[in-house]
Amino acid sequence: MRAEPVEEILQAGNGGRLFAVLSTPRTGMHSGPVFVFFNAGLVNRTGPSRMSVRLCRALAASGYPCIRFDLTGKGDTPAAPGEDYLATVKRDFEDLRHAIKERFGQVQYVLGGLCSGADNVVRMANGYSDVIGMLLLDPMCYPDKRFPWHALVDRYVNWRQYIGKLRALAIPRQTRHRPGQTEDDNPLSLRVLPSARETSEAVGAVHERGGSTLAIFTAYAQTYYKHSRQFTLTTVPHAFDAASEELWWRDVEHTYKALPQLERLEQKVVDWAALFST
Amino acid sequence: MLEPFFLAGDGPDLLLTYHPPGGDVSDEITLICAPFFGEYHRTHLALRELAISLSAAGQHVIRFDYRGCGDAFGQVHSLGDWQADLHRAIAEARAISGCHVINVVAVRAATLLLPVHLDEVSRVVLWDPVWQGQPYLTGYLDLRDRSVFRNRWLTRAARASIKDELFGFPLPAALSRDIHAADVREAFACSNLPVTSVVTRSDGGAPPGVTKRRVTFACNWLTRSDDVLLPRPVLEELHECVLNR
Repeated sequence: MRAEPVEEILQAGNGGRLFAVLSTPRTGMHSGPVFVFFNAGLVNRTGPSRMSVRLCRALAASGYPCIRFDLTGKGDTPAAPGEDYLATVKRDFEDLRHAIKERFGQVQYVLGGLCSGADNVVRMANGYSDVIGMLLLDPMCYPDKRFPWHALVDRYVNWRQYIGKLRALAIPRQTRHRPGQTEDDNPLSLRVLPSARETSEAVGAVHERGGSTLAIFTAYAQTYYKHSRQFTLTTVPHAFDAASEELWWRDVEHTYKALPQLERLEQKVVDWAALFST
Repeated sequence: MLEPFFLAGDGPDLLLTYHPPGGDVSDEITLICAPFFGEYHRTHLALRELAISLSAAGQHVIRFDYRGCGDAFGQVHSLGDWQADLHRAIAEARAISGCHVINVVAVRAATLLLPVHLDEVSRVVLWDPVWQGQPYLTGYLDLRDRSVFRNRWLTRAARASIKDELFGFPLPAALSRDIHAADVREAFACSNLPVTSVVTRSDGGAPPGVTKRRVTFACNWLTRSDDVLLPRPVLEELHECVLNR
């Protein structure tokens, strides 16, 4: 059993407006980069099902300082009405980096995020040369040449969908899912997506810095993600021949709403983080 | 302006967020008790807004995370654990503000924690209270089972492993049993405290003596979605109730 890390509140930026929680190993010894986790959607820094708390504590117990924080207008960081979203994300990350630099000196970063958090990770990895790792949970993935074929197979040959439909019949009519009922029907509608070029450049840049990208796709991505090498083929394939990795966990929900799924993610991320140990 | 800190001491470290009063400083402190499980995430932003509006009106305000929730450490084993956390938060609220008049705002199933603390507080304001744990828990467990059943990619072993939890939050047997058995109607009926309930849906189970205020807003509590709630009309009503207007 791992020792619980030490946590403290970090209030960065003008007047301490930016709310962050720093997890460090209980031993006080740490090495390697600082892990930073971005908000997923509008959920606060703890993440859906406390995913970010779990990841921060697991990584801190393995020796890495970790930060989860609230972007402007989310969680405990006040909103800035009228300001451009992407500009506030950049300013928030700048403020956070400043606080981290004061605390740890010049460090390298591994950034992580789910959904819109992954979108922000891609943008920040492009903008800062000290980002050496990206943990992308359900990032955007653009179609490749194989996409239409896989989409066709998925639509007509995939036997599991018929089982799913039969199972749905067993659910009382009034509680069945209806198209248009949730954002899952158009999962990308609420996101400010990075372009295919931005994503590819971010993966390439991290690779050239000697770092690694871990991209994990779940059932949520099934409308735009059709085979388990799609992200590799649409970004920088040779990066994935080296340290980077792409995974498709079809049985997992977007927000990891089951403890075994969260534990699986936690274990995978801790194993992957070993690449960054110095 | 907020002053967050980890409260160490008897039990796991809990995150407390203190909002000092602005304007005409009152001699009251309001303690905000968040709901449990996924509802915690859905209401976090709303309860922060409520805390800010109350502190702007001169109240000392404290929000806190129970063990195993939000940023707090530890794991919950029974409802008694969360009652102990509430007790620590009340003690800290007194210490930090110097106030003896303590108001409590409890959301949803946080109502189930209150009976053992009714003699420590001066006013209770509830938002869509859960008076009985059984229908609340059964509703969520049904929802969980349906979603597990519907996931066509799960293996039989994976299906079997999803138990003693609610959408990624641990639900130990003792906690489940405690929530299932909890019924706080009598405790509130016997109390002389001023209790106001702000409800967004029919609340036929409310005990006598509880003042009800109806607000039109679809909170859609029973969901597995992480959609964040920001129900302005509810927050305004809660604000008014705490300030006893």
